Amino acid sequence: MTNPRHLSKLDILINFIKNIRAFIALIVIVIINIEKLEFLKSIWGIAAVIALAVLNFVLSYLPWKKFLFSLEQDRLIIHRGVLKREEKTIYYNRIHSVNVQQPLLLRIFGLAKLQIETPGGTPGVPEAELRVLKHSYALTLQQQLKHLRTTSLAKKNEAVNEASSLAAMPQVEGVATTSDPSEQHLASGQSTEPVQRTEVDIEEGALTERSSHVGEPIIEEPDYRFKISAGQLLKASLTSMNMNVAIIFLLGIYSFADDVLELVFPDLYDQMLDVFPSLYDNVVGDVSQQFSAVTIFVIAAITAVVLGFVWLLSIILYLIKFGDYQISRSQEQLSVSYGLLEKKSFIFDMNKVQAVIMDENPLRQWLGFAELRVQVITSNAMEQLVIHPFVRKKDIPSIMNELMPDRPLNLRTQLHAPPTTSYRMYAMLPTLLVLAICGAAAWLWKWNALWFLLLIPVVLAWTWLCMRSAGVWLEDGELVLRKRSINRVTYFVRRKHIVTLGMKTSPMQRKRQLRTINVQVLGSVFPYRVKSIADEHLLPIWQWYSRSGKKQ
Amino acid sequence: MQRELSQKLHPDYIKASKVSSIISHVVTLLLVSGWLGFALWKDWTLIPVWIAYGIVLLSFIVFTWIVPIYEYRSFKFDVFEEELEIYSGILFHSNKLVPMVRVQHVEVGSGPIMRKYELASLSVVTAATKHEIKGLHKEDAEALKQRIGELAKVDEQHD
Repeated sequence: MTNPRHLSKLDILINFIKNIRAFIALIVIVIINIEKLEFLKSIWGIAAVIALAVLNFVLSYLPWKKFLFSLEQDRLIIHRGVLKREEKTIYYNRIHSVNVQQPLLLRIFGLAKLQIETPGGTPGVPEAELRVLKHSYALTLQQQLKHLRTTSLAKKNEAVNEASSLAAMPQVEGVATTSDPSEQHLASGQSTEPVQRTEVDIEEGALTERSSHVGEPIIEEPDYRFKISAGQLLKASLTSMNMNVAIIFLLGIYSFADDVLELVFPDLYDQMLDVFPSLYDNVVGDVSQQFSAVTIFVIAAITAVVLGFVWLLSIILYLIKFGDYQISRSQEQLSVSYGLLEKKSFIFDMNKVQAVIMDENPLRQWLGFAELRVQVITSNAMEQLVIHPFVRKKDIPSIMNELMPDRPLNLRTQLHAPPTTSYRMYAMLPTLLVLAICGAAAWLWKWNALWFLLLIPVVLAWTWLCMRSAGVWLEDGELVLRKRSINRVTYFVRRKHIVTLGMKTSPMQRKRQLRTINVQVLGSVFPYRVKSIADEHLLPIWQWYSRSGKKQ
Repeated sequence: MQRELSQKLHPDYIKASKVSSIISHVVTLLLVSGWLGFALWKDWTLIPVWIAYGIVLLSFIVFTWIVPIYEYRSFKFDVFEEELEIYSGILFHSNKLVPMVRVQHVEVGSGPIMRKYELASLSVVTAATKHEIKGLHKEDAEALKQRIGELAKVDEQHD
């Protein structure tokens, strides 16, 4: 290690707080029952509390003391662990993305954590984490790592490509690193994309000079920067229709509150039950006919209030999640950051983008707005990063031109759609399912279940819309796939990013010369799928993707 | 999709998959019979047990005499210089195209029944998907593994 560094000293404090937080339930119980615990008031009790605090301090101090990291010429080395010592080496050229995050606790103290992701490893777990850094230093370090990665890749591109495992190979200082980037990605199951166009044209002298001055921050002015305005953000949140998160949040709060109430006021529910019958008697009296009408009204009112609350909550959650959204590009690196409470920030290479995704929920589609995402390979396979939370659809081409100049998007409204005869294929399964539900409901609730029949027209209309939204288009080496579940989603995929292409037909589809297309792209668990497109439109796609008989 | 695919599975695949279907159904039959005995002992209703017997019988017929034959007949594949094409499916036909550039590694494996008939299955693994060609002759599978391995490697350098 040439120049080892510690984390921020506040790491000790954060560890201290985290240790306390781990025992919060125990502490709360002790405080509630403080009356009964005579022992704590004796001299021994106070001594024990102090001893515990000191122990906690030592346990917080040691992890800080033993955590060292240093930026070498071609790699980052981390030493950590109190009893079990660990040394972790990450070569700059293997770094996939560097993220700076600010959870609430760190944000309070103006700190941040820096996560480094490499291909491979456990999904969802970053390869390395510098858990507490000053926020400004974390950002500097993020830039620096990004830069070191670029230079080390450029260096490597000049070197002879050798197919060998790089990570385990000891390296002599000053000698260019070995192995082809695609080779590593292949081996780790993350990327087969060999394209690593970096600044190859930089001279070698400049390279060595730059990488030796790793201590200095490199500040670059981005080529493009976009920051969402408050008005835009508000509009985005109003149209987000993101109820599910809010509902889960509400349920979580509810069950948590339930537990707490149970603990603090064990008799609360019994008391409430005592109160309600008398209330009920007063309001409704004993007129039994009013009973059902009033209850239905009450239930409807409560539902409306809850839904309104959920909607409001969803807006607030959206604002918190995407507040302070900004994206910038410098050369081939895109960096995105957002979040009011938990600040998230991602840096990724433009060439690592596997697909561009445009997502329009029904409300936004009607208003002509959309959310833009990209499929990027990170340690989390499901990762789709939002590159624009709320964009007017006609502005997309110009914005894409700024964000990814070599990737113009072709926004067509008219794609090769499934023919009307394919409606049967779209409607069949959902309708059968609804019929089964209706049958079950009729069996359970007899005539009352007739209401369930209303689901049938809803399903028929919904599947009709799904069919009308679907489509494929192929132009300029880019495949466009569009489909709807509830939101209308459009995928833009390049040939080189498609891992496998599949076509399926059921007997019913064969009769009508239709097929379902499956496009598997790296970084996505499920293939992008569009159902029941006519053969004549799919055959050109098959030929386009097939490599036999034509060289690229 | 438009061209004829020349390669098929080994005919012994039908026998092997019949044997494995018989074994798995015998095991299920024993389990259901155990359930029957238990139900008689505890005086439970026997209707679900008879339904289970019916299902086992039906699945025995379908997966022992019908599926293996049609599976063998429908499964076709071909290895081209730059890609692998697989066609499969009895009712739902599926065509798949896997470029050699995307192939990460190839695996050959075989279970005890497959080994008895000198068969092996070949798995072609890409970064995101896995494609299995089950029921090739052991030597063919080995040769194919070598071939795909070479093709995948050759392509990797100039793409």
